[in-house]
Amino acid sequence: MNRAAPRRGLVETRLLIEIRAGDPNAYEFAIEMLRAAGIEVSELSATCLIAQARTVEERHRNLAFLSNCTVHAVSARVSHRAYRIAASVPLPASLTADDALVAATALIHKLPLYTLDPARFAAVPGLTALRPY
Amino acid sequence: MDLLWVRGVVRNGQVVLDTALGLPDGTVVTVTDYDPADDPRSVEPAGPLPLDVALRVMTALTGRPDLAEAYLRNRREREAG
Repeated sequence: MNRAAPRRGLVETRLLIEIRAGDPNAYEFAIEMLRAAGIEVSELSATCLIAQARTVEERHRNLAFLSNCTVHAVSARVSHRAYRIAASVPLPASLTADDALVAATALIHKLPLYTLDPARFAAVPGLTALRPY
Repeated sequence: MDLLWVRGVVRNGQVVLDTALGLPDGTVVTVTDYDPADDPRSVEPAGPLPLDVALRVMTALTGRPDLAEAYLRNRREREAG
């Protein structure tokens, strides 16, 4: 696979889990992100990653990885924006509450969102959703 | 809604700003408690990292040095051909 260096963006929860799982494409994307701009995630995605750990060692590994990332807080502003997103997307909506929080984080920090499923975020006004590979 | 992000300190019950806002007299503003997490200014990312550091970070996360080897092998093949 040959790809251009990724630009700065927020890595969505499922993609972060794929990176953690060692999916080869996700792994390569993560390396390129680390080298190009650093990995940025929502605090919600980071919490999901930590919560998935099954052992103390795995939790430590996840925390050490996150210490090399920029973790954007789920602030009151993010929460309010997510509420407005969830209340305004056309129905039937494929966007979950977690998706709304991640999308709001990307919008507030003016970042594109790297996601394995851009269509899920298509209804969020102003959000640029990109497939990482 | 436009947001101003200006630091102020309460003295004698009034908010004293570091600098003047430059808004016309009579402009109504809302003052809220300070929460650093709400700061809308851009946050600089933690990276970029050199390749060897990035590989160490990822190997520590996944516990799979074979992925780093595969990445380097693919990279060499791309550069060669």
